[in-house]
Amino acid sequence: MAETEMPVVLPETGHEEQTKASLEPGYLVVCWDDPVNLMDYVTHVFQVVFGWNKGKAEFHMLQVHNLGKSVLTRESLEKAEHYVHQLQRYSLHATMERD
Amino acid sequence: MKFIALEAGQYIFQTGKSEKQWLCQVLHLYPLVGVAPQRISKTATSAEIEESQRMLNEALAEQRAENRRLLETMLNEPDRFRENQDGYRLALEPPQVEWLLQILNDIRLNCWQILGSPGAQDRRYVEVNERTAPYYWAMEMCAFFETALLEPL
Repeated sequence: MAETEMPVVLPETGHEEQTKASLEPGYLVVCWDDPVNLMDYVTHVFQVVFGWNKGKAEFHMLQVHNLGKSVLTRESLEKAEHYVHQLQRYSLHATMERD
Repeated sequence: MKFIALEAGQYIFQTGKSEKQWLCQVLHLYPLVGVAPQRISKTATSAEIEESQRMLNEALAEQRAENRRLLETMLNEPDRFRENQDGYRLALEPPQVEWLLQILNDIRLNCWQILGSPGAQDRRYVEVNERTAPYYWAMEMCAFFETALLEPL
């Protein structure tokens, strides 16, 4: 009986690298100040998008207001994209930046 | 417009007759898109984020189309605004409050950008005149209704 040859599976290094990069928490989600979004509105959006309590959401809202920006979280590429999408759905000035 | 009660899972607001008219008037501006799409990153190179940017643009366009559809439905529902002696009683489910907030803020932000982003980093002043007044009016109306919607949240 002939032995079944096992197929040789070559490692897909490019794909692995891409997957690794997308899973590493190397992206900062940043919210930037603007003079148009209401303070209570920004606080509410942070509560909805991140599930934060009001105190934490207000802390970050005030950072945005007083310092011009706040780093909201540090995430993988995919999660950072997700959060930026959610924040921009509410028209907040949010971006993701490499750490 | 004022929040008056939470009844059977619905937020109940009271609006005056003129307020209802102005709410509908400002909502009919949606989607008001007068500016370039939002960027997903300030520092990343375009090659790094090209796909992410494309996905974001698509998602925001889809969201605007869906919001417009939901808005048309809501504004045409005969029982959405129930007339009473003080004006109208508006009942909203929690998800409806969320997307109404998104819509109002989208209108407000786009009006501000169409006006040239007054008050931003360069402290630019944009005078109120015949051209700009409708946008300033819409911005203030949106802020008024957003504040009312946020009250019970």
